[in-house]
Amino acid sequence: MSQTPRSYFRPTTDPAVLAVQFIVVSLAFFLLGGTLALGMTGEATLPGIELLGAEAYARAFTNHGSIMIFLWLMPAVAGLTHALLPRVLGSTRSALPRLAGLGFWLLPAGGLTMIASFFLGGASSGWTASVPLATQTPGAGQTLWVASLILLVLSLGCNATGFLATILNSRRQEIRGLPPFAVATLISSALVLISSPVLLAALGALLVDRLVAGPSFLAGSIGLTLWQNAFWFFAHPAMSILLLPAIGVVSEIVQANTGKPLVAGRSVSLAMLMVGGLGLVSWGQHMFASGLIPTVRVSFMLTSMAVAVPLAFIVLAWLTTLWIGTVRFNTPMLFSLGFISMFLLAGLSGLVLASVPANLYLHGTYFVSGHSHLALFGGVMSGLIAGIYYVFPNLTGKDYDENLGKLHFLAHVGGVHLAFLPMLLIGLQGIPRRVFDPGPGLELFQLASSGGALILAGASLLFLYNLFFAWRSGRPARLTEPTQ
Amino acid sequence: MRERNILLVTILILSLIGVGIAVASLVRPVPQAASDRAVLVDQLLRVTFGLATAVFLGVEGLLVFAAVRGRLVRSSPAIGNPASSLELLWLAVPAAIVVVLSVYSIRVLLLVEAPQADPLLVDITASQYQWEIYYPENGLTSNELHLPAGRPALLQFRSRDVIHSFWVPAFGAKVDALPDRVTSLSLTPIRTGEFEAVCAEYCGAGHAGMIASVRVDDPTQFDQWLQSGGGDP
Repeated sequence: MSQTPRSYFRPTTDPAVLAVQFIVVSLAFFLLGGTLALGMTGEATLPGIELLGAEAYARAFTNHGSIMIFLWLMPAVAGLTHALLPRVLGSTRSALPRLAGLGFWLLPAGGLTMIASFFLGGASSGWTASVPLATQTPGAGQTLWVASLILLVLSLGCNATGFLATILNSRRQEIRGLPPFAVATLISSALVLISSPVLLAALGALLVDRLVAGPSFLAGSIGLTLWQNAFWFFAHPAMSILLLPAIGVVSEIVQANTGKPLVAGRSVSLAMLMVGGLGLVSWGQHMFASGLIPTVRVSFMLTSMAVAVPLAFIVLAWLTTLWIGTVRFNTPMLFSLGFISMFLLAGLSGLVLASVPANLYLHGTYFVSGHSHLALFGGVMSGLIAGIYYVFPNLTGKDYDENLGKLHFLAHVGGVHLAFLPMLLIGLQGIPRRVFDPGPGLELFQLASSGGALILAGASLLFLYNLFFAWRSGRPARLTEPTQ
Repeated sequence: MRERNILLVTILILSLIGVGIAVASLVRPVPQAASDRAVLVDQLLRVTFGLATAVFLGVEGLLVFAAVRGRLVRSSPAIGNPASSLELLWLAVPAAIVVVLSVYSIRVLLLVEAPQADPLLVDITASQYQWEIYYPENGLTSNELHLPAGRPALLQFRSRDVIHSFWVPAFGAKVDALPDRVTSLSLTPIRTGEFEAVCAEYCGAGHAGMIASVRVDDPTQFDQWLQSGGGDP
């Protein structure tokens, strides 16, 4: 509140400033990633018209994926955590303030490196950078893209270390008594610290293999198995890493807007721990079609399916809390309800993908894209938006426009369903993902999906408009809770 | 009052089950299922979608009702403390669904992966961006996959360059073709007709065009095709 505009451009250790820095920068990358998505949708919807062409299309989906994960969702979650963690812990003291600052400045460094890679040919191996395609794809763009990912994973590690230290050093000694958002952040950060070093090592190996002539670390069938395991050892828990903070923030918002503490709060904390733990041991779910040993496949199936139990438990705890309370339907609460609903859809479609025989049909199709977008856009992002609206008055000292917020909610929910449910159907019809022309007979689904994407673009612009104008010239906030 | 509530809840649960069964019997997740695997996977997906629809509608209904209930009824029901019986129920119901789906999936998996007697061997080699099909028993090479209906086939895959994934949607499963390693897919075609094999793992700029025609013939037609050296019968 006492910040001058200039203070947002300086290195800082103040969580409130870091929160704004992270959220603003990640929103800018969200616009970039979204523009790529609109380009891809256009290409897929207008058959015969070459909007991008095969190679630009590949660059678009590769960078769309890595931007949305590493430059939008991950840093936006970090921003929200910087804003909300001091509030739920009741202390603005950050345990490792300089590390938190470094975590932020690695973000524009990584982001600009990725943008620079566009101009050197760009990466085109998919965001999963499947080896050996990723070692064989020529061009400095692909190499620079790997380097940008290394910077971004380092940023992630700095943030997670800082959050973990802050929570463990907070005045509340008793971990069992931590508020839901702190528990979620604790587990999510631990997941980052366990899984990201593995990805970092794999990215390092990929970078070296691309820089020296001929693959050495990631050569042959051993190399590709190594890459698949290392990549998914991070990328599968990544879903929990993103989801847990969303679960945490939705729990806080449900508590704040029903006036009731979360029913079975301690069991919910345990359930979150289970989500994290199972997330760590389910990475093989992405390799069912890659010749895994049958018994190993079944064990990965069981762990992937089992995660539905704690998630369902959390949902039922929210429902009961809503049931016994009187709900205030403000914008953060609406987005939280939307989160619960759309996250349910994502979870159910995920349950289908966890089953080995069903997965062998659906793996690598539009169904997977539909599921991951329901989970990330419908789930994680709804929670994030709820959180950003929730902390906005405290961060800026201004109130956003409630009516615009509600309009944003309607467009967001409508857009998510219209954009991503048809993807599930296109996948079931037998269309692989990353194919720019789904083929005849599916134009209607594709058209609906593109319509949804346009609505989501509109919704997102509305969101930015609302935040921007409220921050610049909104009414002073009527804070219901004290600021620090 | 209490009895009326129990009746209402029972009716709601029964109607959800009804909707689930309706969905499971109406949807056709695997279009034109043309192999034994595809039929089993189609059934599994139908059951799963039926279950998912019932769960979705049930939870969605609860969510909407729970959210507006406080505004309709100005009384706060007491939740026993600790709410242990409620918590057990929250664990038991999802756990039961997960167990049913897991057991069903394992059963399907055991059925489709069981070794078949006297399979027709086919070696399929993937490269950017084509499928090369070889019949070792006859020394025949083709760019189309022909299979006889009713006889088990064992397809073995290799790749010359990057990862590809062989997928004939009507056959109900896909498998990756990897460099330096052999993977396999066994299935019995049950219906004659023309299908397409696509690549389901992004393999480069030509990925979308990596398509091979697949034909399931009746056995005599298939023998003729083999004898004619892979030409039109």
